Amino acid sequence: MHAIALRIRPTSALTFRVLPGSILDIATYPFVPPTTLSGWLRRLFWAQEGLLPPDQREGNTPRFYVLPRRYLPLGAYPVGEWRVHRTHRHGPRAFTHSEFSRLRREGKPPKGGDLQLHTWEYLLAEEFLGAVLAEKEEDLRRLQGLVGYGAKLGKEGFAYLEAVGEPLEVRLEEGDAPFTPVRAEAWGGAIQGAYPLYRFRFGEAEDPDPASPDPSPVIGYEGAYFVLPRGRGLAKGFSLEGRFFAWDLVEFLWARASGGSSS
Amino acid sequence: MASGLTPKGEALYHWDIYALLYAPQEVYFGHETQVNVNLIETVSLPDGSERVYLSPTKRRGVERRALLYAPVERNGQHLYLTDLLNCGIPNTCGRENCPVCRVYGALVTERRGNTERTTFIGRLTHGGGVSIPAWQPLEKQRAMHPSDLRRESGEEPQPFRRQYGAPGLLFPVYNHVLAASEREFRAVAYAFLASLPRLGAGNPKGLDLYEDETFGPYLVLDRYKAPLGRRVVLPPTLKDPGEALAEFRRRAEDAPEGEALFQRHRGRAALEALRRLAKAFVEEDLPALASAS
Repeated sequence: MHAIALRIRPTSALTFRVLPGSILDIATYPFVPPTTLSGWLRRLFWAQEGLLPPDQREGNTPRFYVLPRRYLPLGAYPVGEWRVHRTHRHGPRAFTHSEFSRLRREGKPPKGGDLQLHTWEYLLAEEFLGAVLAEKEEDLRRLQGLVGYGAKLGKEGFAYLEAVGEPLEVRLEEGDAPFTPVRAEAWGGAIQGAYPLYRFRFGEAEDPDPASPDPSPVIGYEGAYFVLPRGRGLAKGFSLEGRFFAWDLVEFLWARASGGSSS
Repeated sequence: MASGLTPKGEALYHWDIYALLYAPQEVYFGHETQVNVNLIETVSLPDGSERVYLSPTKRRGVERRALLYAPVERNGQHLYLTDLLNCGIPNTCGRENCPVCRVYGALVTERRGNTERTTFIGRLTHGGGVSIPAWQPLEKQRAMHPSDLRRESGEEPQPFRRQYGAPGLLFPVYNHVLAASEREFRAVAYAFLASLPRLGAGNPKGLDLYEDETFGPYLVLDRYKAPLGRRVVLPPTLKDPGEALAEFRRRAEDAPEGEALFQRHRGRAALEALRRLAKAFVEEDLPALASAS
């Protein structure tokens, strides 16, 4: 197993919506979730090829564009200064009326014809350190060609890939200050927060090449609760660019490869 | 209708009134009272000057009242329009056929009898009011004298101080109406002209259109579908009255001639047009309202 480090530079505030959640509370993960990173890297492959992102409104079936199963993106985590900024906004409840442009309104507004207060969180971070694992070194080398490309990242915001490290052989070891989420049930120390993380459930079809415009054979998500540790606590994992990536996430994400085809 | 208004068979236009008012005497626009000093409302400009301010919200209030107190006759009974319509301030009626609410807007916050909660967005908006030149407010000593012929102790005159805006101050003011028929605009024309003698708090009251021989009254009236003419708006940084008048004239000239989508009246012609509309409001619209109610 090999690992490669990604240095991701956001150019704006970012929102990675935590689901399940409330429609009135748009909360963000304080990091780039693994599934989001997968789709974002797919966009960078397109950018490199000069392809435009597909129109996802076409047709009725949701389509997924993610990295092939041979890649294992572990997400990306803020390094340096970061914080979550929470704002309050008024927003329309429904979009099927024209109450807000009426010159004269009489009586009760139609259903959904009023404003509702909601909150929105933005992740403000200087830089993210991400990691992608793969069995073969040459798969990871392809990511080095994506340096300098950028794409929409998350629900709101943009980031570009500033630098990519060299692929390294992963050496499992014990660490005492995990940089990444660990399984909630296995962690006894202090935490920064608890988050549902997801992996893709793949269908039977073969993965398309990441640079191709074809959708991935994803048929859904499978989730598990993780916590982001605060401070010290023993965990199994590996070191990359001086940070300790916990193995829990790899085990969770890797489990998908056992089902479906292992390309 | 998505707008909430029933369409009528009359053409809709945007309307603008631009005017330069002057104070023929001292003026007072109430701001706040400190201990025994009645302050006049002013605004501070980035250049450090403090200007007497004829707040557009105050003009709006005076205009709306001018309409509410318009005399109207129904079956030999002489009424104010406010009594005929049962529409006042702040208890606006918000009815679609109310000539006041139609342009000034209305808010009925709760259901009263068979009147539903109503929001009526006013299409008439007011601007301007920063005086030229940068003359400081004057502070004067006044006193309220009891009218007693024989005075006992404790009934001495009450002294107070009041600030005034100086005579001769110029106030550029603007009224804009969004997409309204000529019939709807008649009420605006009436209110604009009828409000002039009543601007100001307490006494003395009243402003008037500045006038000179070449331009006539400093008044511009636009009726348009497309915004093709220069808005006759003066930058608040202008301090010199002569420059302000020249700028008003320059902008007033900056409009297309013979253009179907934009019609501009200036000076005397603008005043005549407003008078014609105000007259139609009194002669046609008020009796029609009286016979309909």
